[in-house]
Amino acid sequence: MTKVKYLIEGPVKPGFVSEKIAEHQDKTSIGAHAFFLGQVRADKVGENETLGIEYSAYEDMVEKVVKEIKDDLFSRFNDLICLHIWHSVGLVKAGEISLFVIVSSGHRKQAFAAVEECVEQIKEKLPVWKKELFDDGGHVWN
Amino acid sequence: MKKVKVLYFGSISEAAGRKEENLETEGKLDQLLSLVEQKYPEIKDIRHRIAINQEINPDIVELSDGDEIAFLPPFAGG
Repeated sequence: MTKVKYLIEGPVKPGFVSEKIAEHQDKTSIGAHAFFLGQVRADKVGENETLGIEYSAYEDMVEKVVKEIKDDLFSRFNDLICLHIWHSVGLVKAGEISLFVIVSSGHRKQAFAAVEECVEQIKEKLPVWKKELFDDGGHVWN
Repeated sequence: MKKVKVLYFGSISEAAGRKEENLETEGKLDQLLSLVEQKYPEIKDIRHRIAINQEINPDIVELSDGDEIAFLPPFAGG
């Protein structure tokens, strides 16, 4: 178990995504949800193929950075109603989900814009690291 | 002497062979960074930033007891 609510041990399961949709059904001012799901890709590097990625995070700093990202987006998109981020730590195999972002707003335009902005900020600011594991037993850090 | 906690992440944790340790330093950030680079010379070859108490590249020269100093290679979330 991780101590930070934005981090999930292992992959984000499809059932978790549907649970989160259900949890928003009582928020009836929402008119649009935009989702981003990041999936681990089986990259080919020379002879080797990626089996999975082992993610690690600076957990206390993740908590702080997620708050900063949320504050920034809520201050810039006035139609936003909800914004949630979950990132995996530990092993996520190729084909599984490692990042899940839901942005909900009254109307679609700000949901689309804010989810893209949110993912870009996650890539730039979230203190998370990837150890890419290959089928020959080797690994690289990204 | 100041007692601080040093955290290593990503490829730097592999170079250091550990994720964290407590170190004693005379108090200047530069002295601590040199001490760590002496212990784990490979760190010099890995691009990274320093965070103190979760603040990246802060304007801090003097460390205090209990400070948390983190070695952060480029982030790679998503």
